[in-house]
Amino acid sequence: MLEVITFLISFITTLIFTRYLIRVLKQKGSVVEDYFKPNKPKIPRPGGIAIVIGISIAELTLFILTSNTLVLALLLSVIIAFIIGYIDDKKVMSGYYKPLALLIAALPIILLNAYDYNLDFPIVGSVKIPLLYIPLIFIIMSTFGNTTNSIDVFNGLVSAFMIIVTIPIIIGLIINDKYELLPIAMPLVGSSIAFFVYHKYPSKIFPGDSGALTLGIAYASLAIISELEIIAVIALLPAITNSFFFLSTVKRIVEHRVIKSKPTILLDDYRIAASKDPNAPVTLVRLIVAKKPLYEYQIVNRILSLAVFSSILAIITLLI
Amino acid sequence: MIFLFIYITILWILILLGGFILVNIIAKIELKDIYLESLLKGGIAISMSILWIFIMVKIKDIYMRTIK
Repeated sequence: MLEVITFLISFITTLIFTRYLIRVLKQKGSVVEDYFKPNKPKIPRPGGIAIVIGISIAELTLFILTSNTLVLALLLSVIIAFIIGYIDDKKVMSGYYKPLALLIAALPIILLNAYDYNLDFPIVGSVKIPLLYIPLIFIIMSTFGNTTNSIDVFNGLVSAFMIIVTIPIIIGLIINDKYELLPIAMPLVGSSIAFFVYHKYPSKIFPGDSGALTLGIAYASLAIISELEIIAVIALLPAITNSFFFLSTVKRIVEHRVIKSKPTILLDDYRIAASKDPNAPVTLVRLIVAKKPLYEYQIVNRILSLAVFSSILAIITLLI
Repeated sequence: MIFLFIYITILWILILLGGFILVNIIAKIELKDIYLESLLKGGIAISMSILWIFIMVKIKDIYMRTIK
């Protein structure tokens, strides 16, 4: 029953606040160009405020009802991630800012002891790593947050992606009889679905770094609290692959906006094509359009099909 | 697109293989000095991760050469 309540609170709150934000951000002139559309319409940003309010109110209600410190750990991590993202939305920071700043988001999980140092590898068993698990929490938080942020490049992508990759976690909780953790997981789903209503193609609002980092850290915290870290990594493989391709070609941590040679180019008919420049970074999108140029919505559908595929692999891993 | 599906499948297999090696081989190493034991286990795990990354970079580079 609690899972239904937290889902509805996060869904309704995010839906109402996103609608309100679209109007307020437009009035304040907090808008950015939608680069891949004719006439480049101005889209309000950051919508992350609505996402963090939706998740926070649901988790806070759950904490008041249950006094569960796991809920508090996730809530604090999400708020820290939002603040880090919001600073980046308002002021352009260096490439190292987000990976390093997101390490702070791991502190609530560690200080409130919201983890178990047994790392579960489905199929093969688990391994106790008491000394290594704390550094691993920092790595998981920073990696999940940044990889989620790295796929926030097209209309509706990051919100739809989060809905898809959270499904294996929900199934994992049910299979492992951890029903008590379902109410903690549902606000991520509720908030992502509500935001997707306005973020889907053609977007009426963008989440910004604050929104993408909030979703990524909520997912990372959930993976650690649920002891489903490996399942979460498998589901997140398309986003991890994207970051991996980028880092392996650029060979340094840097913001996309400062890369001189872009991985893709926009054609006159608004299709997106792969760059012919051999020095351009390799990304998931560049590989998807390598053989033929595609429209934005076609690329989004292809990335989401990869998310469905990796989530199926994660579910297979749970079931074997 | 087919390459990306195959690539993700290879990553999935490498994760499971890595887990198998960690749980069934590395975790069973026992030394008298617990800190040396942790250091050794951590070192092997990190080396394995580097090897996995090397494999994935090579696969990506081979594919990139075919589409140029």
